[in-house]
Amino acid sequence: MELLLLPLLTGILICLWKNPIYKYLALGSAAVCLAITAGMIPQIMSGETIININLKWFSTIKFAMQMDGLSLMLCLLSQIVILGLFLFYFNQDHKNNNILWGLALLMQVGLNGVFMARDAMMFYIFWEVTLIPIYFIVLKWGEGENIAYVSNRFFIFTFIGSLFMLASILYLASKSSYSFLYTDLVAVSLTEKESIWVALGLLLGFGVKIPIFPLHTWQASTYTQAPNFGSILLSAIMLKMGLYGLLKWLLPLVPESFFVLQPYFLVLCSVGVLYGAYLAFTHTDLKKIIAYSSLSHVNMIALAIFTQSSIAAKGAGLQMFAHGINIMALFWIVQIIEHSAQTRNIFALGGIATQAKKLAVVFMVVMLASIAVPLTNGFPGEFLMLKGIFDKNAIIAVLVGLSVIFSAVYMLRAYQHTMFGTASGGIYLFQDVKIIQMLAFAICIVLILWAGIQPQALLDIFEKTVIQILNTVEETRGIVS
Amino acid sequence: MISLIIIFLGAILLLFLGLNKSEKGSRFGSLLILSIAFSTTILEIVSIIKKLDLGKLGQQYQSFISDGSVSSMIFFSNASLLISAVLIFGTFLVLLLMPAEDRLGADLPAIVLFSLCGALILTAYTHLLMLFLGIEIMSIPLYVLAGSRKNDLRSNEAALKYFLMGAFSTAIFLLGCVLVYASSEGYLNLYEIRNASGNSLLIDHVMGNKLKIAGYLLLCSAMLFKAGAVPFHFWAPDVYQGSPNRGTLFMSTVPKVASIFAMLNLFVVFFGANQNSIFWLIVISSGASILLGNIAALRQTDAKRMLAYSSIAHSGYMLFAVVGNKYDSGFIALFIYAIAYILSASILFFVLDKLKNSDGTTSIEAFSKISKNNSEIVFAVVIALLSMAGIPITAGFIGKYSLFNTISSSHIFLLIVALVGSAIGIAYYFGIFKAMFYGNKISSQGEGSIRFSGAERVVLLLISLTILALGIIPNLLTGFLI
Repeated sequence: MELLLLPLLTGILICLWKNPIYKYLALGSAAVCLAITAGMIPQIMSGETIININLKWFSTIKFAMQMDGLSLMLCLLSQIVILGLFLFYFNQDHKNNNILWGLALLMQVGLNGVFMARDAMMFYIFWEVTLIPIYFIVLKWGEGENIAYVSNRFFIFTFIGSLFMLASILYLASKSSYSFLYTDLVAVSLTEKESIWVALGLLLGFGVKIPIFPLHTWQASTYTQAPNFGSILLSAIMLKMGLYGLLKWLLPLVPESFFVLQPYFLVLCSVGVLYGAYLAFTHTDLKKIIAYSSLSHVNMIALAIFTQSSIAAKGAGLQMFAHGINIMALFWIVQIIEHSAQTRNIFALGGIATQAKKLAVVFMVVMLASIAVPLTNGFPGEFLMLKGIFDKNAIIAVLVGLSVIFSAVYMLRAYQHTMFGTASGGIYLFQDVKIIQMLAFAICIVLILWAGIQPQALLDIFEKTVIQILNTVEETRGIVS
Repeated sequence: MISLIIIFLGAILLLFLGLNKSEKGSRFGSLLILSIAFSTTILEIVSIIKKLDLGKLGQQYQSFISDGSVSSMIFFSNASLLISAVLIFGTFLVLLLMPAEDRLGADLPAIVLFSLCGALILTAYTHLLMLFLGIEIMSIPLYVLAGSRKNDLRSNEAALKYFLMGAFSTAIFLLGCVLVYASSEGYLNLYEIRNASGNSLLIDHVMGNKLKIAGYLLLCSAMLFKAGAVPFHFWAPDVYQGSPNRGTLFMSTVPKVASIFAMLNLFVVFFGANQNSIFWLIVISSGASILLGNIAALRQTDAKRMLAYSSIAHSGYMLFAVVGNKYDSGFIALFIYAIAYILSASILFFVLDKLKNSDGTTSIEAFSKISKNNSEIVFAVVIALLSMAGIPITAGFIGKYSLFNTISSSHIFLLIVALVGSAIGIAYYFGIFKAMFYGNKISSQGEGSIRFSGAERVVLLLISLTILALGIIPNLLTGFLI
């Protein structure tokens, strides 16, 4: 409950009250949220359910909240990302900075709500609540030329997706006498035909946000034209909502459809993995490279979830966390480069390593993590996912395994062109990482190495929940077949 | 009932007293009358609140029949009281927010009050003649209202068009009454029609049924005309655009809600099981209104015309209350949706009125003028649009959710149409966001921003906060009733 109220109140306060101390308030609120979330880890590990709220909200909708391992891991991620954002941008003011920060806090409310909700309508409501602040962040603070078009397209895409999700939820609920509780909806059994339609509706909602392969067209332009602040919110935590939705809601709600749909999903996601990697390789805009590499990574996570194997799902969980941290750091690096060099074209850049040694080191670590080199956080997740996919279908595993090589190619290419050699786009004075930014980077690097060296610690948080979810799926499928 | 009398007498008084008085005085007077009427309605609601059971609103009519008081022509049920409170409050907002455009003195507020009387009768009729009277009392002032900008050609056109079309729909309605009368052993009282066997002395059973269905169809068409639903919507865009802003806000809220509530009573309670044969008309009309209203609104460049088309779409959504064919859940959904719709429409029309050009038009780009130094107004408009679009944590979402829920098990196809319509709706509502937040980036010099007084800011902020509060804690509204 504090996780919702604290950011909400702080967010409203700093939107309204433009006082120099608002930054400390925001930082404080984010830090307290992180502390509260981290404080729940021991209890979760010992198998307790921490928050267990079930209040009547409106007609049959319940305000039902619960924290389990998977929710905790994602809440933790969103708390870290919000805190990191505030730290990194502490000395870099946007226009109307207090409102921007306030919107970020409101988004945090939505994110925490989505991860904790155990009532489908609550889930939907918080899902939309995250969308409103990010829409205004992209529209108002975006830098591109046709930002109005891009942000409206982004909103319409995601909103249509979630409307289909709503239709599916309403249909499911009409089978359980309009109770939207998670447990009640899981208990609903559908015929195969019904469940295919319901699954497709849900998938549209989640898939647009992730984005899964044919639904990704909004992504690159939104990431590039949004302010970096917004791109980080979008890519580091918002798309995790979609992946979380697949694992926590889609699989247990409509297991009946999976005999039919699974092959198609697997193929779509593998296409997405390879296509994203290919696009990342062809582009020269740093932000686009990151956007497409992200497309490739998250499609891999979705693929792993669709295999329904517990090993792959564990890997997916690890990778969700890792991807959030890595992409945030990557966007920060882009921010610093763009700030000094006024360009993001990797061919116009060069020789940054000679002027900004700290940045070069940070970029190196983050890049290696993004390629999934052992001892960084990218490796364990990727390994487990590929293992799980391989057990399911060796050919797909080999194909998507290629993306690991691709990612090495495009990331190294980006690194080489920006950091080494000489700049072809004119000479500029490069500002290295500032102290407070270094603090933010330090958090990321610590997390990267910690999750790389001791992944089991992170895995322990959500392992039980994931296995539990997959068991439920297995049971329901057993009944059906 | 008391509030109806208060409003009617008050309006007459206003006409007499206001002959030489300024517009301001009569506006104040009308607001006073409305607040008295509103408080009496609320008092009436409070007095019944202990007995009020939202799950059994429809049964009240049943027990009314068994009381034997069938001869009465007007009966304020609990549901009527609740919806009258909404209608009076909506009119109050209209008169509070909208300054008159012409020097018409007391006439305009009085006209609005008379029309409200008609709308109140529509919520409480139990007799076809009363229904007819209600519709006429509501509509005739609206014709005057549409034409009240005497020197404006478009206003004249609106009045003429509305009047002619309205006259046709009246004729159709009367013909419907006649057919129903003929087919039901000669009754006009709706309870008796409901219980009539259809075995009239004059005509045989089969013929009687056919007549009855034809009668229902005609009645239904006339009511759909009043609600501005497709395919009887052709008057709506022109009339809404030509009327003065105050008139448009009134027309697109109060009469619309009143006629849809009247339809709910007529088709779900009074005609009961008999109406299945014409239900498809309401279903199609509802779906078509949503699609056509939203798609046409997408193409508009004039903000008022856009809102006019979007109000057609809103009629479509509100018709779900009838389509669901369950009185109680339908009524609650309509009640919530009407409140949300009236609140957000008032904000939008108020801002739109402030932004209008000298010729009375308002382009969507004009919304960029408010974005400077008007953060409260921008906030209010954002909330109003989000609520119109039905996005969570606003009252509009709660209304839409309730409406969708009434049909989600029976008309899944209509639900999908509604979702598609909502998605289209986003596109044009967000066009205004684009103008507000992005328009001023292009023309930062602008023609100067619009000034809002302190009181206006407070009122708009209050309305928008109400929308938010109802969206976050919807039980504020229904909790005390259930």
